[in-house]
Amino acid sequence: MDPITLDGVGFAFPGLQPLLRDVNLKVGEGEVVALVGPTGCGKSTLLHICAGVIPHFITGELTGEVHIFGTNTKETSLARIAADIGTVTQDPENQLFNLIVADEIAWGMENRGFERAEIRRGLDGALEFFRIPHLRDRITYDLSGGEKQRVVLSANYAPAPRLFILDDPTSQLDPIGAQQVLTGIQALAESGHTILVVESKLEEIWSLVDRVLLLHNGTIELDAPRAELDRHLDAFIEANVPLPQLVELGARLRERGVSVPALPPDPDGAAALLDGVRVTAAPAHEPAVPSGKPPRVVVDNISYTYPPPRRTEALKEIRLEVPAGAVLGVVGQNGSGKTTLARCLSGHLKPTSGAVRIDGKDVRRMSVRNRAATVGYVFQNPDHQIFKDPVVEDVIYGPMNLGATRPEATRTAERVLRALDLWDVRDVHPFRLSKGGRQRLAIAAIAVMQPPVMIIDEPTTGQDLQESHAIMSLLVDLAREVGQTVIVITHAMHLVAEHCDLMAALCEGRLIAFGPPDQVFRDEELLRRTYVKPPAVTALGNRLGMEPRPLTLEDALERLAGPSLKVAEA
Amino acid sequence: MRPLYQFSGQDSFLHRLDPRTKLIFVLCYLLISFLVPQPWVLFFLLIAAIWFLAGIPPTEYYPFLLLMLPIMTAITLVHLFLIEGPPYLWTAAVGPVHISASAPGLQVGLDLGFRLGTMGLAFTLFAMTTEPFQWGMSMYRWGLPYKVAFMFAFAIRLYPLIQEEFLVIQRALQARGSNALSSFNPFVFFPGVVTSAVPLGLGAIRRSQDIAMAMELRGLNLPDELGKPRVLFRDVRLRPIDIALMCASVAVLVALFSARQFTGWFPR
Repeated sequence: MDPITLDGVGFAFPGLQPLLRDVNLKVGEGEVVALVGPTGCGKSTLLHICAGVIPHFITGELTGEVHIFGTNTKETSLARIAADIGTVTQDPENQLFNLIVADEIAWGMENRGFERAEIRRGLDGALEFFRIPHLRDRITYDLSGGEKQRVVLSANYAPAPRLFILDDPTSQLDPIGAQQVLTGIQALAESGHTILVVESKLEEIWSLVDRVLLLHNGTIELDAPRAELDRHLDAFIEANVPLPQLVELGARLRERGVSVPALPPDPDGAAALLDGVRVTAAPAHEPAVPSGKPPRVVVDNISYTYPPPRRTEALKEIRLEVPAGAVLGVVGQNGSGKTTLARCLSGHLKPTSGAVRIDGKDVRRMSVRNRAATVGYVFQNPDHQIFKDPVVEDVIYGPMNLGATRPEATRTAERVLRALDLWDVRDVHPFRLSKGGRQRLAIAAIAVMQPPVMIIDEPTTGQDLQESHAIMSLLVDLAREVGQTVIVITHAMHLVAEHCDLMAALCEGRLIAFGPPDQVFRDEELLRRTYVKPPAVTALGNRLGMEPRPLTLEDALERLAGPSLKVAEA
Repeated sequence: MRPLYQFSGQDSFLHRLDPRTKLIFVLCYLLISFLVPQPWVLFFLLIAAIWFLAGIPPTEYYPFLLLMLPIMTAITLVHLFLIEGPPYLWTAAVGPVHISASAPGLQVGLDLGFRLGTMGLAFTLFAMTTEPFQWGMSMYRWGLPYKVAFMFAFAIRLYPLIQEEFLVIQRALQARGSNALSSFNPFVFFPGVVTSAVPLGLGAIRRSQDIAMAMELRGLNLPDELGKPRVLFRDVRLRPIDIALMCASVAVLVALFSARQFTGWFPR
């Protein structure tokens, strides 16, 4: 009996156009299948159908036949379907119900009526399997994101389900957390479990996956073994779904008539295949912000220690200067001090020592209004920043707090809303916008106050590649056009490489690297201390000694597809 | 700083007591605070108990103490000026209005302030030393339906998350030039609360839907479906020390009540 069989499945939410149509899918015992597709294409909906959530928990028009281990999901209760499945979704916070880790892992077994001795065995087994016995008695809300998600995986693993459905379980985690979870998924795959996974970082699960399904235009447009994916580059480009950078690089080189073997996603493997290659020379990257400009933001030797009982020394003697019109990317693992630095920059926290000055003025000495007018802060979750309805009212809320009249505020809002592609939805309730739309609204609501400095915390979380680049491009435009200094906290290194003029890497509260991305990404050993990896093409450039280092796929492609290319034997 | 009323996660004598024992102790303690004439002693005794029997120094919950201070002061001041003397500590006349601060008013005000502080502190002791699910499951053992007991505990588990979200929203409002949620002016603060209700409320609704779905998927309703009883992995049981403490709490309460009623001790 196949774990998953979908036969002509379609689905529409009440009153809306069908989201899925004629989906046919078989997942065999022990297979690891990745589902990819652009944002909003219905990946999570398809997983909900496989998990029985549709039609039992989420209603809508479900057509076709769905069988899980031979059982028709329409004819069985959700509780019984779910008993065979371990389901992990994006946000671990919404999947932890107990306070203590051991209780969380035991809870699913309690619900299934396991005896106490069985529960103890299952608990110990799950903790060992995911290598988290040290977390057994910890409080769940004190764990890091990666630890939380591993506890969720363990809790789903403990009752021994026959199928795992994973909905982008690393999307909200920092690099170290994502790595911890991916190690857990690897252990599941290697022990022969059947897995259907949506994962935005396809290169990270590349070696585990047997097949990849491309969901686009409401149906599965491509169902191909992993090894054959680079032959379907057009389908991925059309769907706006990225293949791993180096896999795509190999495919595009071949498209240009360059004879190269299929490249693996890891830079070491790809560099070995391209060993001996001569690359076309290119001029050095020109700095977008001319050097010698006076700094707008001066971080003058600041340290910050959280008050008791936490007492963590979150920042240690940070010094940096950022000129007007520059885009700075701040990177580092969770706990490295990024958010504390941002809060000191925005004046929400007072440094224990040192000072932050903007255009010569100490941020902490400003009033709340002055600070809001000087340093804009866009928080990670756009939903925490929506205060008014409709969109235009939310945007003018800030300027009116700063003393602008309604007509003045509306005039500025119109310009910003048009620039951020939100003018047409100005009369819509903000919560009716897509996640990307709400993220742009959060940026608009701060940009409209025209602060000389804007800090944006993870502006691209949960966005697809196209939306992420669109948001970053908008930020760069703001910096260039009005001379704003933009500071972006992010884990997305490809965005730092492509859009930032400067980057700062933090590790355990210290600034370990600062400079243009082309320079900072060279020292991979140093960056590894804070779990930062350069984009794959830049890492490949490091291995091949390319000067300057390629920062984007296009960069690398131009340099490697040059006339003097020699390719090593595969 | 830990959010107020959050379980501290330590291992101590108070943490190990059954929630039911602590609940009965707290109730008795509150009633005792109304029987004895020196409630400030009980207030400071409780601080000492939290420190030495639970290992939680006042620095961990000083925001609560700071929050209580203006309330206790306000209660004392109201009584100081409203309750008539003699003796009077201070008198003044402003035109036809005669203002006086009396010693009995000060005494009554301080007593009421400390009783209120003792109540809050007793609840803090309970919340900081009691794991919510132990509390929920102990209620289940006393006959509350499992789902009600679990949801009750889960609501407490969610409290720190909501408090954290509230702080983020407060900062987000400041970033938009509004100091509403940080203001002590009620005419500024309450409109700020209304404004913040949009992100907080909608966030809570979204979260509750996701959580309900995740609970279903982890088998919350499976025991009802299968007709199989649920086995609690970490059962809650009263130990002899729990029973002894419950009895002692009730006995002290009864003794003090009797002393007040029948012997003329604690005459006020």
